[in-house]
Amino acid sequence: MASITIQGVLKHAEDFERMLSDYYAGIASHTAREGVRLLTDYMARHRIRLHEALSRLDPAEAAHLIATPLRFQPKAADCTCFEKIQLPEGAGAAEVLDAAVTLDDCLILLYRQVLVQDISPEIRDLFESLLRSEQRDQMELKKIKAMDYF
Amino acid sequence: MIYLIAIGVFAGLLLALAALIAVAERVLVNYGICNVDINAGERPLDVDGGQTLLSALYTNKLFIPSACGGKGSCGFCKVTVLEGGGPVLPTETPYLSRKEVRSGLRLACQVKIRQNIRIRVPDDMLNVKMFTASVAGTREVTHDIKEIRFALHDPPEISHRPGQYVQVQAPSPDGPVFRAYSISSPTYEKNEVELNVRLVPNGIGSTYLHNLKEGDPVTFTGPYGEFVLNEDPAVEIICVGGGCGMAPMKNIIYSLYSRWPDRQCWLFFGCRSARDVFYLQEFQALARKHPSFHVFYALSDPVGPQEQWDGEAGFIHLSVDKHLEAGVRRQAFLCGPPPMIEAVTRVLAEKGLRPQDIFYDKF
Amino acid sequence: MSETSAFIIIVAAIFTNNILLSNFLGMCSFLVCSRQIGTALGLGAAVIFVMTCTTVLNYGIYYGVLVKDAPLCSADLTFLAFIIFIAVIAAFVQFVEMFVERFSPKLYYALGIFLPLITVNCAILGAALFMIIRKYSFWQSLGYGFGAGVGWALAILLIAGLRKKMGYSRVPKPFQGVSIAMIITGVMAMTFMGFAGMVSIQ
Repeated sequence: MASITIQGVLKHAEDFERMLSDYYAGIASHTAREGVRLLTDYMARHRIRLHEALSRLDPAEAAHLIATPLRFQPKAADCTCFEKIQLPEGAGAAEVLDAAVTLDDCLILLYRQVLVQDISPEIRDLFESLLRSEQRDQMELKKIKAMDYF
Repeated sequence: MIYLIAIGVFAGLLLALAALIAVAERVLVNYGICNVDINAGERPLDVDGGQTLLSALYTNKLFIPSACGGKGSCGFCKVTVLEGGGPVLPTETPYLSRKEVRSGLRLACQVKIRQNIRIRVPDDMLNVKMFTASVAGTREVTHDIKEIRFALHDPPEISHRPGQYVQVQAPSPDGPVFRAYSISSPTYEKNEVELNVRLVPNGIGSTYLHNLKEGDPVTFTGPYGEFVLNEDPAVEIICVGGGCGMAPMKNIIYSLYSRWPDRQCWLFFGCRSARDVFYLQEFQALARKHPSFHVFYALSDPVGPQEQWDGEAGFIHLSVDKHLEAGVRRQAFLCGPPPMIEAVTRVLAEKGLRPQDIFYDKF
Repeated sequence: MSETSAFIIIVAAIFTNNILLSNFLGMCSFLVCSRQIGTALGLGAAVIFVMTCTTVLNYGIYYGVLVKDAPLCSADLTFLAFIIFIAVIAAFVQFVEMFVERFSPKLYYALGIFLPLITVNCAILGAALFMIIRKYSFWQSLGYGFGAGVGWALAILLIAGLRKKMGYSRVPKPFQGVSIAMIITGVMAMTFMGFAGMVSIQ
């Protein structure tokens, strides 16, 4: 069975956050609709949560902690997530927001996979806070959609 | 005979054990009366030890905001514990940053009172009360926004500042939850609280509020919120709302003109189409009465062929950019989705507003 | 009544007759809590304390009340032993819970649900029953209760260490998780048999 360290999982998540960011930036530069452009431009700049969460770790222990090996194959949160999303040309803000919620689900799934592993309390705290901030983001997306401004 | 003895002995032993436990509970779990010192002697409380800080504060009518009702899942009930709070528990750490832990911030619902304790809460929090009220009337202002008025019963009056909000208690399958809504009625209407509620599909709070009928009882706590209107009449007030963020602005504007009839005030409101527009007639009437009040509504979707619209077009930050001149002393209140807040903040900063003069509802 | 000294019984209960490894009692919390050394240590300490105290309490109740012609009740009530022992253990664990909550909230939250779960740890009841079957005297019972607790704690600590180490090794899929833990428990039980020549209690 494949083995991956916490660092590997974090790298995976970071790559995915960057992909998300690029994806939204791509929509922002192509769309003809001003509202979608504003929205995706905002989302491209506000999807990076890892640094914030990592800064909570005790720096003295961080290096040791992220070297913890886990034995599982991370599923979700990679290129295949984007394949599931089919945004039509000229998609509206509501569709973009729905897609964003789906994409956030991929990250949530990844974090949940780590949380069911046998991990130390510090790592658990880290991933729980990541999971929580991701869920809060998802809530924010849903609220933006509910406000129906774009 | 042996059965009777057996039953007797068994019952006797169990009773003895139960008595021992009861005694131990009295000695060990009973913390006696503990003193809670709030803001250095401003409001000392004597409470029974053993309960959580949140429930102790609630029973003493001090309502810390909390959305989950003390389950440790919302992280709203943060208070500064200066002394006597015990160690930070694992259930709190996900909600507190390193810096907050260092400054003594704790979740009130997780702190158990075991000894005398000294805490600090924002002064505003001491004025928060729990209100029981009934629905005085509801009115649909757009296809999905309702204006709901509550007549206050106990206490019969509320004193709030414009821009503050209340937390309405709504029933949910997991016990009561609290949802925040801005007060839209002006501050001089002391016996009533009016809210604007947009119906959110599957939303617990908005569904509950939309289903209320006249006369239904409601419970809420408030007022919360840190916004303080600038008292200098020379300072212009800018209100920018988007989507359904109108309630705090309506409160601010009406309160403002009852006090300073000639004060400069600008209202910008952005929404998607003509069917989302509300309160426009009321504000236009106000603008005729007070020439110093300027109101602009903007629609971001293209205007349909059947629709009548002679207001602004495009997103609201563009209207703000177009109509405001730079270099005037102003205070701004924003309400809307985060991307809109960000765009408007950028425009206002270009117009010379300092960051501390721009206030927005964090939602 | 056997004549073995209490000290010998302590040693025997830890090594040769380890309640977990030779009798396989207390497996449930043993398997669940052996993932981390910290939890294992806390639980082990709690078990040592509870086991020592409940064995003594149960000794007093058994010989003071339940046996035929006991000082407090002359009828033979030994058939009540099981239910009474369980009641005593449950009450005592309640007491320990309150005690720990009062004086060490940190440990209380670290142990979490496992503290009340000691109530249903069969090793505790097992120790009380062995005490009866083997007809121990008071001091022997005290020694046995303490020794059995230490033995249980030692076993869970060893397994926790092993499971931590096992994180680095390749375990075939069907054996992952609890099954490999059971296997290493068995292997460890066999290694503990090496102590068997040292001392022997029944």
